[in-house]
Amino acid sequence: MSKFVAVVGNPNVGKTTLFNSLTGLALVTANYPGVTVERKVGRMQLEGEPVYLIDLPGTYSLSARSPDEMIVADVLLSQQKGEEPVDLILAVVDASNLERNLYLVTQLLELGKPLLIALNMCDLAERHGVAIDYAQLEQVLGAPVVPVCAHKRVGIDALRASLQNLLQGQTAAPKPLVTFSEQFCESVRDLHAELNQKQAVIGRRVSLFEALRVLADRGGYAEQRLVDALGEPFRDKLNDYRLRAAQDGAVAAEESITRFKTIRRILDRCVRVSPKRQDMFSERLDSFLTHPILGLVFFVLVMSIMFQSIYNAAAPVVAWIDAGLSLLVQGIDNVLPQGVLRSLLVDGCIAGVGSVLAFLPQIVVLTLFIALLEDCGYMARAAFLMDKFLFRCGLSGHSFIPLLSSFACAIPGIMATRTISDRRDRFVTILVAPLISCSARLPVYSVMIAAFVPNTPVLGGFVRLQGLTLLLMYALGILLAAPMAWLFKKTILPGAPPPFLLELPSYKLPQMRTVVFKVYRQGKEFLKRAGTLIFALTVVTWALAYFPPLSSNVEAVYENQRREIEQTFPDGDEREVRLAQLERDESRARLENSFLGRAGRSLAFLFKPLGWDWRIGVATLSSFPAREVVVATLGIIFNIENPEDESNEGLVSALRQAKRPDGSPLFTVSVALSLMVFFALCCQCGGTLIIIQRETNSWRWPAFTFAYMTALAYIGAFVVFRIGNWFENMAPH
Amino acid sequence: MSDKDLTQFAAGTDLTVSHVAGDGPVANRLREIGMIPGARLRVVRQGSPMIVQLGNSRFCLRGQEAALVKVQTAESVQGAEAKFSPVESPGTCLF
Repeated sequence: MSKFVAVVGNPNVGKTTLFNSLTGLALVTANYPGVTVERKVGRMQLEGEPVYLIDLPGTYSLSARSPDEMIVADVLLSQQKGEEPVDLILAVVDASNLERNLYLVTQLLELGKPLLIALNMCDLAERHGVAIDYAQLEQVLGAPVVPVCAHKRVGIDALRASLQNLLQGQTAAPKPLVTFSEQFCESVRDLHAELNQKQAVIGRRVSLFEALRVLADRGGYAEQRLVDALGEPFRDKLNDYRLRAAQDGAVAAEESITRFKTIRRILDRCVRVSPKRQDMFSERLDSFLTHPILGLVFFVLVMSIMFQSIYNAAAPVVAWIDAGLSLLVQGIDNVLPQGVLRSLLVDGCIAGVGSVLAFLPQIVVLTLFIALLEDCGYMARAAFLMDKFLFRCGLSGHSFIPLLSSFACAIPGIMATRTISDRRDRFVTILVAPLISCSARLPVYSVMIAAFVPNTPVLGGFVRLQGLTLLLMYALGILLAAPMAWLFKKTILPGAPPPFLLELPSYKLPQMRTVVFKVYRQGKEFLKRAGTLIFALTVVTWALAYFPPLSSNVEAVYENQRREIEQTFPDGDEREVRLAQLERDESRARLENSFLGRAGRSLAFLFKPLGWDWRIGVATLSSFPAREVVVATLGIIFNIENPEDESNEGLVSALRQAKRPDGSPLFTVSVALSLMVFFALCCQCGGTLIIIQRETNSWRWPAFTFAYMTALAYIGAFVVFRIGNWFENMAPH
Repeated sequence: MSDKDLTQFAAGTDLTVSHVAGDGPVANRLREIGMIPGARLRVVRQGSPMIVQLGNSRFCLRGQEAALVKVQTAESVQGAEAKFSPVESPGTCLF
C-alpha cells in the first residue's frame, strides 16, 4: 500500500529544496477540491515501494488565518477532502532559527502522528555559533532528528533511511511536550466534549487539537467553520470558554508563551550558543539593499536589467527557432501541392503555433530572473521596498510577490494571493493582477516593437529604445494597477490597510536545482498551452480566414487577368512583379470574403477610433480567449496576404508592408502603440477569468474584471492613438 | 514604568520585549514568531515598514503592527530573564 508523507515547515527553511532532492522531477500539481490551494505531490521510491510526499505551504504555526494555512492544518489532521490520511509528518526545521521553528514542532507533536524532523541548514547554524546536540534533541523531542544541508545535498540518504524505517515499522506517535495550566486544559476539554455532543450538527468528529485551535484563534478559520455550522450565538459561548481558560480570555497569548517556555527548556538542554556576531554578510547587504534611496535605485536597476535581458538575451534563440520553422515550411512546400492541406499546415499550424512558440526563450528568461531573485532572498527585500507604495494603494508588501509572479502569468500570481490573510486585500490583488503584463503579452510587444520602434541607443547608450519601450509597456500595467487598487479599496472593497509582517530570509546563493525546476515547470506549462488551446484556436482562426472560397466567377476573373499578364509580358521582371501583385490582390479578396473578413468589416466601426483597420480588429477579437493568439492570427492574416514568408521575421516585414486601401501604411507608430496598450490592459485570457471564478467562488468577480479591463483597454488605446497621431501629424517624416 | 513600543527606538537599539498587546490575529502571529516576554530584538531599520532582528531572523513590519510590541531597552531590564526563567512549569498535559 502506498504511503503518504506530509512535508511541513516554516517559510524560508529550504523546504522546497529538500522536497526536490527527495522526489526529483516527479511532481504532480493539482488543486484541492473546492479551494484552489495547490496540491503538490512528489513521488519517491523506498525499497521499490512508492511513497508520496505532499509539499504543504510554509507556515509558522497551525493556527490558520489564510486559506493556505487552513489546508496545512486540515491535511495534517487528515480531514482535507481529496487528500489521503497522512502516515507520517516530515517537519523541516531551520537549525539556525531553532527556537522559532520548534514552535510549530511542539504543535505537530500533538497531532498523534509519527513525526520525523529534518534539521536543515546545519552548516549555517554552525557558522552562527549554534552548537546542537542532535542525540539529546532527539531524545527530548521523542522523535527522530536527522541533520541535513538540503542545498548541498548532505544528509539526504540518512533522511531517506529514516523515512523508510519509520514507514515500515509500527512507529508510535511521539508524546506531546507542552503542558498548560489546569484551567486551560479543562476549558479545552470541556469545549471538546461539547463539540462532540454536537457531532451530528457539525457533521464530523472534532479532534482535541482542533478544539484547542477553535479556542485559541479568535477570528480564525477553525472558529469560523464551527460558527458557520452552529450559528452565530456559538461565538459568545466560545468567549465564555476563553474567559475560563486564561486571564482576560487571552488564550492565544497563554498558548504561545507556554509553548516558548517549554522550548526554552529544550534549548537549554540541547543547544550551546557562542556569542558570535550573526550573519554579518546579510546585515551589510541589507543596509544597502533596503536603504530608502540606494535600495530603490538598485531595485530599478535589477528590473531594468531583467527586462533588457528578456529582449536581448533571448533574441538569438528566437532567431534559431524562426530559422528552423522556415526550413520546415520549405520542406512542406516541396512535398505538398498548393491547396487546403498545405495552407492548413503552413498558414495555420506553423504560422500560428510557430510564432507563439518563438516566445518560449523570452518566457524562460523572465521566469529564470524571478526564480533567481526569489531563491537568493532578494524578493522579500523588494516586497519590503514596495510596501510603502502598496500601502498608498491600500495594499501591503504581501501583494508584491503575487503581483510580480503575474509578470510571468496571472494564473500563478492569483493563486499566490492565498497567502494574503485579509479577504478584501486578497480580492483587490486578484482584481489588479491581470493588469500586470504577463509573458503572453510579450509576443505582441515583441512583434510590434521589432517592426515599428527603431533600436536607437538612448540615455547615453545604456539602454536602447526598443528595450525602453518594452519596459514602458510593463510599467504601464503597474502604473494603472496602483490607482485601480486604490479605487477598489475605496469603493467596492473598503477596509483599513492590512497588516504587514514578512520575514526577510538570509541571503544565499541561488540553488540551481530549485531555479531550474521552476523554469522547467513554467516552460512546460507554456508549451502545453501552445500545444493545446493555442493550437486549437489557431486552426479555428485559420479555417475562418480560409473559408468560404471565392466564388467561381471571381476566381475566373483573376484567372483571366493572370493569363492576360502572361500573354502581354512574355518574360522578365515586369511579368514577375505584375504576377506577384495580382496574387496579393487575390489573397486580399479571399481574406475579405472569408467569414473572418466579413465579421471584421462589419465591426470595423468599433476599431476605427483606435486607428485599427478590420484586420487588426479581427486579430484582437480572435485573441480574447488567449491573448498570445493575436500573433498567430496576425501571422495567418498577413501571411495569407503574402504567401512567400512564414517566419516571424516575415511577420515583421509583412506588418511593415501592410497598406490601407488608400496606399498609406497600415501601421504607424501610434497604431502599433495603440495596439500594444490595448493588449497591455485588456483581460484577454480565459484561464485567468476561470481562476478568478474559482478563487472568489463567484462569477461576479471575473465578469467585473473582464468589464473594467476591457473598458480601460479601449480608453487607453484610444487616448494613445489620438496623442500619437497628433504628434505624427505635427512632425511628418 | 510604562512600556514604550517598537516604533519609538532608533535603528541599532537593542531591546527586550515586555509583551505584545492585544489578542487579535496580528498580535498572535507576532507572539508565534517569538516576540514573547524576554525575547531580544534589535531595530535594524526604523520607519514604516521597519526591520527588526529577532534571533537569527529579520522581519519587516509596519508601524501599526510594531506599535503592538511593547519593549524596554536591553540594559534597563536585567531581571527580565528571570520573569521568563525556564523552570519546570507545574502544568498538565492537555493531550
